[in-house]
Amino acid sequence: MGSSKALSLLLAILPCVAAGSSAQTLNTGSAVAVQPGTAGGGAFAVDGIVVNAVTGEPIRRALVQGPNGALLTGPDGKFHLDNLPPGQYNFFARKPGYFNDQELSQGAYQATPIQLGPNMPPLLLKLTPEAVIYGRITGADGEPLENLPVRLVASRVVNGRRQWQQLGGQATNDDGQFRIAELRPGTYYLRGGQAFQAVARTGDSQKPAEGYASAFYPGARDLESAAAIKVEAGQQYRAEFSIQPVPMYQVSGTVTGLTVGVNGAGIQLFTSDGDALPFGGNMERATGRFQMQSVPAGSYILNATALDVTTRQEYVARMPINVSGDVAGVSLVLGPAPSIPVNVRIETTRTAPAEFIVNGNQRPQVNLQLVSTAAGIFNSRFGANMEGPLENRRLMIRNVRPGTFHAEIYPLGPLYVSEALSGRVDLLREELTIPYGGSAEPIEIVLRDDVASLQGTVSANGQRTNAILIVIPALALRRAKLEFAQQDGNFFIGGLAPGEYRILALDRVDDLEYAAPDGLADFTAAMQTVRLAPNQQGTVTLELVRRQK
Amino acid sequence: MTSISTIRLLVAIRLLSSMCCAHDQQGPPPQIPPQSAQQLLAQPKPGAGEFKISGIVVDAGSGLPLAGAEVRATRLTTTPAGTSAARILAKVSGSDGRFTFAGLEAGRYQLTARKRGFPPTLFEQHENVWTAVIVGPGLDSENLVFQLRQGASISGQVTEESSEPIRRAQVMLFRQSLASGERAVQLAGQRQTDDQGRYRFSALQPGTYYVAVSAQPWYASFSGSRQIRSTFVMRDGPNGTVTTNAPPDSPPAPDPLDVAYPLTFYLGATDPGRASPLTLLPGEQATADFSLFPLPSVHLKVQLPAGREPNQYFNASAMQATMGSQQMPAPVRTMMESESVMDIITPPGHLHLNIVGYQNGREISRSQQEVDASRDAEITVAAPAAAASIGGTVKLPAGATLPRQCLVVIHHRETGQGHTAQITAEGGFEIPLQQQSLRPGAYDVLLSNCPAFHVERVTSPSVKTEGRSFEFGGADSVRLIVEIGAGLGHVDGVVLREGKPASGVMVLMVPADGPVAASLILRNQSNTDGSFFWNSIRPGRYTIVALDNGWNLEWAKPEVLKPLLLGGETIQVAPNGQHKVTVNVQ
Repeated sequence: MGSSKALSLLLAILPCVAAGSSAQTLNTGSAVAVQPGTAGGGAFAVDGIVVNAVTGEPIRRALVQGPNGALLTGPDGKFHLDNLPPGQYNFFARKPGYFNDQELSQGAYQATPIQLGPNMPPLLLKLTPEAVIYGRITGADGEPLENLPVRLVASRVVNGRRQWQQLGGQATNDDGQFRIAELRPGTYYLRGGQAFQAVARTGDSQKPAEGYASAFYPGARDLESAAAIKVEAGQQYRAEFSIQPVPMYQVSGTVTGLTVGVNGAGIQLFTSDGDALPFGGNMERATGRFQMQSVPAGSYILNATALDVTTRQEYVARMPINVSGDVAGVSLVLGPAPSIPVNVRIETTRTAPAEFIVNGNQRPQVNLQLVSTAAGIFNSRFGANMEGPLENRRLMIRNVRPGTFHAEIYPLGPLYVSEALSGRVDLLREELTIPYGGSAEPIEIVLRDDVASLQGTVSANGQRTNAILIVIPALALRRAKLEFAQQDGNFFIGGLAPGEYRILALDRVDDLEYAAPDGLADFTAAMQTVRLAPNQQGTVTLELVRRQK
Repeated sequence: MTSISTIRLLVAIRLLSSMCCAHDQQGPPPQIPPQSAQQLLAQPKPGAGEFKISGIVVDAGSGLPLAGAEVRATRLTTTPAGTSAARILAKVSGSDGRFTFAGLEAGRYQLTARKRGFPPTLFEQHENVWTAVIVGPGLDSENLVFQLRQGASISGQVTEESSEPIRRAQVMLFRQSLASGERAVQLAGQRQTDDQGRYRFSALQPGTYYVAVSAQPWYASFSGSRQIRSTFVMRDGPNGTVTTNAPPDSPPAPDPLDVAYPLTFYLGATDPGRASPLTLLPGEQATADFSLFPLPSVHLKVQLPAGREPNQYFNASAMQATMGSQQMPAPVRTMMESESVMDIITPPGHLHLNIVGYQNGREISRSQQEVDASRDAEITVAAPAAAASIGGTVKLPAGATLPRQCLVVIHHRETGQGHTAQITAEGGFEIPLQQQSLRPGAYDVLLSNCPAFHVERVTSPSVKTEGRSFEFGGADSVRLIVEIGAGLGHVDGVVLREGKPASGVMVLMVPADGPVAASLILRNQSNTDGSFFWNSIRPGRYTIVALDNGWNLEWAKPEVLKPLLLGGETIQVAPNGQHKVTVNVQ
């Protein structure tokens, strides 16, 4: 690695003057014995080093961001910052191939600021090295599979709920090789395929063609039977596997219900985990006849969608199909995708209603999204948007697909959602199901301004501390939310709906399913319960709970 | 002949639409319209006919037979509505390279072959034309020699001067070739480097290539701290380089993070004229590594128009010259230095700068200029002007209505670059000048995707027109009246060599009643029975020439083409006319 020739080239672009000071020897991983920098002009200086969190080795050419700029570490991983202003500041290190703690946490993160002052101890900044999953995929007879899509599937906690995520969309090269880098440590499932093109194999005309369907490492057809790949920080995991060709069939039929404004329909097959096969069907607009080639045997949802370009209305048809041979004569009948009007009413107790109407009612008063609760890899969201003429703007959720959803409703402004109903379904407590071919009642939302608030302090062993707070309304577990206590332990949470809450102060929330029903079971004893009346300003004192690493 | 079994295979729509014939003309790109499901479903099973296609797959390099190559045969049916493909039959060549498709019906077949390491090719493919195999009574569709060329590859690693890999560097591959009758260097592919800084281009045709890399130092976007750089210095010590304080009297150093990589060509040149070519033989695996050296960034300060309205903002992008006439995006960053000054941060070089103004998300102005970005400079941008466009109306014959999918295409005569616009129900079309930069010069107007209609004449109240073309000044809007005529012609021909039908010969159809621009010349290749045809030909006078070895000719050059036209056949294509022509090879 470190070539001093290369560095002298960097020096060439820095008109710099050599100063006399001897180089330091390092004990990797430990605190660094460097002299505190001289404070210039009454400000402060700090020395430090960036190290690999796993090996403790210094990291050269890492970027260090301080309060007044950034620089790169030297070949010994060290850096020196001066002219630093007094105060508390965050220092971040970064470098391609590494994650700093903020990047690693992928969500709520609270940095620990450094108090700048004279004679500062050296700073030790750690970077966690990325993991890499690489390998080679072969087909029948050990031939490498070229241009095969490769993806990783991982389960992650996002907004306090565990969900599937897909990463790394790439394709194998001409030798069947792939390489997916920039992975955080964790558990992954590796998926190869489905091949874009069926592969010709010697056979006879009576047999169906064969091709490479989607398969999970080390050769499983579905996620349930796939092997988990657990990678540590800095690990390079080699995954070689082989996919056997399977018979491919043809699915054909007719789409009906095409309106005049529809130019064509998209036809796709979805697997049970919600993944779409890589090629759709080809529909003839005049007759509505369609055909899909290269469908591996299996159970699917056949889906057709069409957009009327004049009305922007979408049409949908779907049906489950089971493919174990050529399937012909499938009939898909398009029906309009439902749209759900959203009516928002504001009940005010202390402010004139006009204050909530911004820009002549052009802005929505709430951000409303319906999020599908399907357990598959792919979740869908449908948001409400303002539409209609300026003088009569209204919120509408357009072109919703059938499914079961929970509503995420965030009022804009100092308001809370006191009621959200779709017909008899209470969206604050229940899920909304939109049946296939059906619709949902308009959503009626009541916002109120008699908000409550909660303030207090967080301590750990008698010392005030910063913390991440989880605020759990007693009635609607799903809408647990995160708040933050500052360095001095103080916090203030406004805009709360009156009611009962449980509240918990933690040091970290990464990988914590705080919004799931049992996600906080370990912490029940540490929770504080508060009841807030309308307009009440509650106060609570919390003790920090440290989670084990 | 070894017995090779047939397998039923799938219609590879992707393959067909990416490699297709030049038969449906009037506007680029030539392509087979997506075949209809009905046509696909209606195909009889193979084995219904009495004819055969057979041949041998050979390595074009060695001439030796290739075992295990996959050959596909697709029957094509051409009607005025377009060309459709039947179910594809696939075969794998035996150990002697031989393949046979038996039980075929008479007709026109497209053959493709591939093998791992040998990119898929159509039979006797040259650029986007190929030889169709004609099957029928008295026709020889056997003993074909299908040449496959082993693909070459170029791979390499891109590193920083500190030898660390550069991720997400943009690697551009250029190929020097004779394409569309012109010798030119063209972009042949783009890749991003992976986490190890590696890239790879595979399945390359043999030939001459250039590789270039464009990247930004990953840390450059964190530059901008002047306090630090004045006191921070690196210097060489006995155990490597250390960072120390600069002496108090040292001059302020430039920000070491405020650097950029210049566009770098293999073998390290930053001037395209000094790029080293890589000449690849079939199957050759070449390596081209790069080490990029950062230079201080150049800052172009753009003075934005004063008195801007709210919700108005500006965005800058830049193109840089690469190989040939190819312009590629330059890795520039922009920062708002103040309310009215935008800082464009770029590697040193020559830029074609594009500054676009937006208001409420809509484009309201565009200014383009050539900038010498070898040192920091100040640039001014004109106040937002009205959005310009090339557009107008189409004038149809009485009672006619255009099919909905019809497009107006304008072709820059010199470069052949085309721009399309949809035609509204009212007959209007617009090509906004904001979204694309159009070169000044003569443009020819055509229709595309528009069966049975053609452009007769173009007139304009604002610019000079001649026949079906107009002059574009480069900035101001152009209003056109495009007079459309009904009916396209059909030309059927045969190429003869010493009185006998000649297969695989290049055929050109050159307009004889107007400008001869390469983009207006139609190209074809004779089928195995010497036949060729063109559907959907705009009525007019044409000269048809058949050229032996035409693929090595720079026929786009008038001085090359002119003498060849003397040996051609001239025909007058009438609206809805069916024309027959016989051409001798020259």
